[in-house]
Amino acid sequence: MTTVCPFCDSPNVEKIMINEIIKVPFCDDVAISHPTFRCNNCEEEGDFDNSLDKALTRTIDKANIMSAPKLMEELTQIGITMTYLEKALRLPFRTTSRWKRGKISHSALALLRLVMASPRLLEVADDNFSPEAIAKYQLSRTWDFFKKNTINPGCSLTWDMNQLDIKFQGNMYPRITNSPVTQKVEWVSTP
Amino acid sequence: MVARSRGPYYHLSDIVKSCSVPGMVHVRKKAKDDAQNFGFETATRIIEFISIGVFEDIELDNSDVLDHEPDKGTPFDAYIFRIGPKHVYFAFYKRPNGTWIIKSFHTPNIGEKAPQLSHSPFNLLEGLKK
Repeated sequence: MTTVCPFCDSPNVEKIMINEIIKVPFCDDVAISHPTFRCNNCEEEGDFDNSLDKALTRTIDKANIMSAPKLMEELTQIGITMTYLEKALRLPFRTTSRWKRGKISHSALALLRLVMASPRLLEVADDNFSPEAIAKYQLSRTWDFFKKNTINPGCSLTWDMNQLDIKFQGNMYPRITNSPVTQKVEWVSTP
Repeated sequence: MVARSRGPYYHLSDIVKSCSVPGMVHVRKKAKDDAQNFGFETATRIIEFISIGVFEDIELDNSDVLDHEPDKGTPFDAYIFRIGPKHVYFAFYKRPNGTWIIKSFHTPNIGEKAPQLSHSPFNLLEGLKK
């Protein structure tokens, strides 16, 4: 059966190979080569006969799933052991052993990535999501932000009766301001 | 927001339903490439997403007719909706043979929903104050 272009109905269609780079969070990019159709009339490209795209989606899914062991190794390197992760998240022990062998769901992989993006989240989970742990986490995020983006970061905290004021300050890197000298910035919480 | 033209020409639910039928909806290459900014790596994923039929804060943006062959004169509808914090400009039309074409899937270029360019990470802190 002849494949026709779904955009212009032209039968002047050829199958070509496309090389794509798939970005896998926290891991090296993955290069994949896959077939696709190209219309020589309107120059559109795609899965014209609905036979190719599902396989591509599966390949991308597989590349993501394969990244789990490396992600777990990196978490261990920054001091988060899998036993601690299982305990903090109230997962059955040895769950991560299955993940390491590639038996990991998309939701579990998403969970690992969230932990990698913000490891302090585990402290919140470990403390059973208490309001204190959440407040500490929220403050630490701003502090981490200042530490990453300023020189000589500092933080002060004052309270008077029911009023709590939090102030973060630091000098911005010249690359951010496009100025040869550093510029002071601060953030004060609104009551 | 007030739509910039007449329309819509199509019922949104019709394209949503068609997304569940293999081969009934196709995505233009440009739209597919732009959709990567929203985490959609393949046309299949875009079509699967639309087939759910859940579009947050959706509004008709404009309706017009195509000015290029082969479907010159065919009407299209364009909507803006939200996926999490990001807004999407989504435009589509129906070909005479009954198949649907998704012609755009990108961030809005104009209007209040267009993203504000920020060169300093400190602008992010403004959001924390709220």
